[in-house]
Amino acid sequence: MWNRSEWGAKIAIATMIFWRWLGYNTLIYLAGMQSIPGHLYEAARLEGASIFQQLRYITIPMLKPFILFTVFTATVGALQVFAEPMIFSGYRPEGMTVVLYLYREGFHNNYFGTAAATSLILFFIIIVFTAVNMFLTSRIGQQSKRRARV
Amino acid sequence: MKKGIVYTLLIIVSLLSIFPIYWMFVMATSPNHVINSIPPVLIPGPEMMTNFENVLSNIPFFRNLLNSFFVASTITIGVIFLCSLAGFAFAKLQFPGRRSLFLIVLATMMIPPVLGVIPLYYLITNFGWLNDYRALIFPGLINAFGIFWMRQYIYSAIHDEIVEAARIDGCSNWRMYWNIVIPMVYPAFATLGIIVFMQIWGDFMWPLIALQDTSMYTLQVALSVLESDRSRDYGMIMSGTFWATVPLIVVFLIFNRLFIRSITDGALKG
Repeated sequence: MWNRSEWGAKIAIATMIFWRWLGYNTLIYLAGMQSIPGHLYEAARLEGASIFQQLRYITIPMLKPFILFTVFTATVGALQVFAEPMIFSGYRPEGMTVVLYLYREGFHNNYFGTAAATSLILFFIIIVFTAVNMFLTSRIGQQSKRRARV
Repeated sequence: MKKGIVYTLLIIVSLLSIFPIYWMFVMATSPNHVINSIPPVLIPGPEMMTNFENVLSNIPFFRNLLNSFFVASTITIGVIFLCSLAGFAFAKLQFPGRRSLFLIVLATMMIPPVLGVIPLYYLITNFGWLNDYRALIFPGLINAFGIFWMRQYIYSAIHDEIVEAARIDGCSNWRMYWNIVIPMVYPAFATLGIIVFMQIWGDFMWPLIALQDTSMYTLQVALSVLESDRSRDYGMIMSGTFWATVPLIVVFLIFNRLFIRSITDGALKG
């Protein structure tokens, strides 16, 4: 059974959540790509850029805010996963997430102090993830800008 | 050739997206021994009504549906009204502390709602709202995202000249909101409404904590009761899930343009 194996449970839960948000994220990237002006591609084609060069030097840099948005919402959302592991593997350790742990301590074991402490720790973890996200995405943006100038 | 590759990829992704929903329907119409057979059956079976009757004998399905609908629509109306009111104040009224108050609202957007669950539970037990719709409705009535959203929209959609003209004619703030702002921001109401409705409709954790009776449960929590049933009657579970999805699919088919806009606008402006 998937929900009783160490990695099976994690992969299954991740797949479920990936599937659930697939359409949402696709729509966001679609909107992002539609907002890129067509003349950029035209100019690149005139100068002989291949399709991968167009992707690398136009699409990805122009999509930066959308990538930032989806990566940010996905990571912060993933730290708060609750329903899927709760239904799929219950309180078993293979699928235990921070929020599920919080729920178990608070509403199953009645240790409200532990649950409150968990949420405080989760808060700091989320801040760290947010900061790392922002740092990485701003660095990626600067790199591609530098290359574009050269 | 190139077109062919693109189409093949798109068809594969579309099938991957739709297949779990289709298979849910197949399982909802099949008896259990068929569901568990290998290889799995891919055509709908004859047991649609039997499975749904089993659902009804386990949970008050229609009552749960009504609960979900009641809670989600009340919150949606509340959010649209209160957030547009606050958004209007932040966008168009001058008062001391406007910027810092707005910053505080934005800061609360950074804090995930999960973190508030313990204090919120403490509050509602002290108010005596446990197992009560009020526990679901009141915490959701206003949210920072809605205020931010409405503020941005009102800020760009309503020109200062209109506000000034109304002010010179002696228009009060309330009348300005009611007669000028509301008619002009209907599109924003629609998208915000959809976002909030979907979010509340799909919420699982908070109703699970705040409600205790099966008859009070929202649909999502009631479905989890089916799952925890020891018999593992997958036909019944999937029947409940399928019929809980149908209202959403109908609403989506009617408003699909609005749905798509609510998602893309959220990324572009939010």
